[in-house]
Amino acid sequence: MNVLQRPLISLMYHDVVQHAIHESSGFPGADVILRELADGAPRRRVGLKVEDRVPVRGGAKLYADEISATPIGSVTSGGFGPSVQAPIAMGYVDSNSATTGNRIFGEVRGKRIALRVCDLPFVPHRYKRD
Amino acid sequence: MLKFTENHEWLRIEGDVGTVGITDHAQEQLGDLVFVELPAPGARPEQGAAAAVVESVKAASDVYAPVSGEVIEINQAIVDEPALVNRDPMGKGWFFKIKISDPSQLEPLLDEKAYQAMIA
Repeated sequence: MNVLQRPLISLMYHDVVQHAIHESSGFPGADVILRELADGAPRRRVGLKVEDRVPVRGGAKLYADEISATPIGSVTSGGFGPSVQAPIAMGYVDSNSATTGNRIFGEVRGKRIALRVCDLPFVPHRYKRD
Repeated sequence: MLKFTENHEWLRIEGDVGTVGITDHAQEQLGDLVFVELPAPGARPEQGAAAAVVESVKAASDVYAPVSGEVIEINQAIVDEPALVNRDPMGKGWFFKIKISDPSQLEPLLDEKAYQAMIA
């Protein structure tokens, strides 16, 4: 498993949490995952809305502001979202930059593009489960 | 006079000014355009250098200058509404006008018949 894609970081930890509660250890990666459950993960998966019209695609580096040289994360996947008629993306950022509404920047062809951290999913579930 | 490049740009020449756009074939291959970035007026792209960017739902791609020269006018309408390029690529969907610095660069460009044969 990629070090950036541990279940807690991705907030896809339902099964892991269940497992942890029942067994409290004894599964692959238990020490790291249980520690992150207690202390919080270093990076988080976030949704991103682009303020401009430029699609910010997979691989784009993310920065806290327009000038800093050190990335705080990167886009894993991004493109134009027809439902919102705007570019959207998803990526990993340092936890302290992962607050909903936070403004960060993605680099596209050497330019810093403003992005807004937003909740996932972009479009709320509208279907009913029987 | 209308000329084409192998990279699917068209160039309509009137005097020493050429109007540049992408072909119908190019817009069809790209699919729905969602973003266009044009050169700044006054920019001086060399022949074959990336002068503009188009992004479709699927991918980003460069638009190359068919000839060297100075960009004297850009079509802001396609920045505001990229879909215009899909609807009217050879007309209202033009990209920019360039003052041609070296007419001999027109020589290797394709005429319409040669371009149509290339994409056939």
